[in-house]
Amino acid sequence: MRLLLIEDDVALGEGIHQALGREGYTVDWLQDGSNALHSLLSETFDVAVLDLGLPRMDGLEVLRRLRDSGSNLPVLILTSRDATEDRIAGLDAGADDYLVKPFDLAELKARLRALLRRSAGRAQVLIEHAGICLNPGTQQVSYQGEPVALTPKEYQLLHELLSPPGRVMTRDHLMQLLYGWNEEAESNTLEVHIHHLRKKFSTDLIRTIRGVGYLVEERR
Amino acid sequence: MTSIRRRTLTLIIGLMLTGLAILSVFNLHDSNHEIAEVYDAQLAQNARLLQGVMRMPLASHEHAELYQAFNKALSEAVPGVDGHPYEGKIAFQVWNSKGEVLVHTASAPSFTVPPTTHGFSDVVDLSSRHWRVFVLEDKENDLRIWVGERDDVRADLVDRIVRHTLWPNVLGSLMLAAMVWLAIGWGLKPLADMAATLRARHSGSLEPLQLTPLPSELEPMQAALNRMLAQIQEVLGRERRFIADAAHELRTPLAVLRVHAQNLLEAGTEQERRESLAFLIAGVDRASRLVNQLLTMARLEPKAVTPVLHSIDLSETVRASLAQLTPWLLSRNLELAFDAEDRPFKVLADAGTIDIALNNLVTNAANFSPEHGVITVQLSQDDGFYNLSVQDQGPGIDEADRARLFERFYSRGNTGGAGLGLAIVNTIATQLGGRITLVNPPEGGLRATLSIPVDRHH
Repeated sequence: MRLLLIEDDVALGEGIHQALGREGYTVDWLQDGSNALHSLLSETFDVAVLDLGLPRMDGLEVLRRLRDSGSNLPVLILTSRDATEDRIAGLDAGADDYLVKPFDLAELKARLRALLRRSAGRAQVLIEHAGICLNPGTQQVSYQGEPVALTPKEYQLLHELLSPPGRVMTRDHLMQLLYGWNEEAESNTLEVHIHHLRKKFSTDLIRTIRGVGYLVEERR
Repeated sequence: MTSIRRRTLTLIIGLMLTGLAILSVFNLHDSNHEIAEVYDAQLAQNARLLQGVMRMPLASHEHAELYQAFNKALSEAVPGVDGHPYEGKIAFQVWNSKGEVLVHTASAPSFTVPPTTHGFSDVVDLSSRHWRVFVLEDKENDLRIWVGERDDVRADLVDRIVRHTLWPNVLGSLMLAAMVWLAIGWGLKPLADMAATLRARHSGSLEPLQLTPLPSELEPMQAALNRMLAQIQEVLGRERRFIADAAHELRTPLAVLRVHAQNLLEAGTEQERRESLAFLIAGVDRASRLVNQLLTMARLEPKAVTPVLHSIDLSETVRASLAQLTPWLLSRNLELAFDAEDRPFKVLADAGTIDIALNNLVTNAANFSPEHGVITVQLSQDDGFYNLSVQDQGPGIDEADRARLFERFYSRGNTGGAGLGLAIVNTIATQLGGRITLVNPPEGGLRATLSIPVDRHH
């Protein structure tokens, strides 16, 4: 899951970056509004955590322009503005959720999971497909009732391909998802992860569309 | 509690009674005098009537007859239509030069020797009665005529006159007092109305008073009251805003603490744990700084309380503050330079607030300085102002940020700062009648200049 964190407070950003990174998110972090808007419009993220009091462009303005561009990206506002009218303004500007500082990291993680679930068009907590059962809360995966051990990158990849199945994921999208801007990756690492996933489940789980990307078929 | 009504009434009644007493004394004195005049004239006239009668050349037996005739006439004096009880209190007596009594009334006091004084006098007879006396001596006819009148007649009369005038006066005074009481109440009605309006207000109401009609005497009171209410409202508003701001601004540092504490709990390696701990400690320091700055701001804010300003030498104060700051700057690998002419820079200020302002400016400069940067503090004069400038070698300021820099809690993305520093300096500048300006000088960095008016009396 690729997450854009927009938070101008360095110490808070560090902490959230660290915590969500551990949770398996690929976190990209920006500290001002106008850079954030630019990235949101030009790149693909699964979810964004947005502070409101930002330098150069206010968070609400970023959100409004993002929605004006037609984006459906799930956005969680994380702010110290706690008045009811602020919450209403935030949600009306297009936020999907609103969390007030100080907050519990566990709650932030749970809300992000809920946002991702909804954006994948599911209400169920568990993702089930072709005998695979994936639990985003615990990040545990089983295949035909047996637990399967996955590395964090493999888990992310599988989660992305399964939410929901039937979409072709481009190579670039999956690479960005796994590595964001920060980590350098070898050019064939994606193929290695795909290979491992096929080995751990079934060889025909993931189809390669040559020159385009990968796909988990909807019904098999 | 003193009541204006009671106070005024007491005074007025006191004055009235005093006036009445003085009038009564004059009245008494005057009555006494006038009565004495009239009675004395009567006495003298009686004496002359007697003299007229006694001048008649009479034989000695005729004297006895005359005497008997007088006695008879006088003994018929009975109270009623033809007489008066006071008649008995008037007496006369006539002697010849040999001291023989020629005629006398029964009511006349007995004398051992005939009186020798002439004219009017006051005497006491043997039975201790007071008489007013007129003695007429007629040497030609060998007569000494004594006419007397008992004093109590006059006293009684004076007493009556006084009593008859005093009672109406006292009664009138009481009625007047009652009327004055009502009049004062009527006069004080606007005050009572004001009190009633104030009483009827909700105890927490800070709305300005609008009394109509407002007597001119109460205008300054209403104005002062409304001024005070406005001040209270402003102070309360400021307080509320400040508390809201403070609570708001504490959220982020608290979030930092919580996030890193939770990360610490979930840390997998020793290195991660140390990292989180370091963040935690930095977070606590930051929260403390914020609290300190909030307190400074709270102390500076109420503009109603102006600090006591003295004439101080700015260069001396700045040098002392910088001496305090130097070790901290050196520990952060920063250098400090202070340029000022060697002369006094007298300003009307408070050394404590100058120290706070300089501390904030230098801390800002340090936070945005590159490693081994130099912070230059300068003191110069520009017309009526002394300029205290702090220049760093940092990135300077964005024009877009400039407007927001003096806002409270705007921190230019500086994690350590609470965003109150420049707001505090701005408040201080305003208090001292000066201003703060921020410039990106051509040589780079940021120059913050605090301008304070020159103290012209020194």
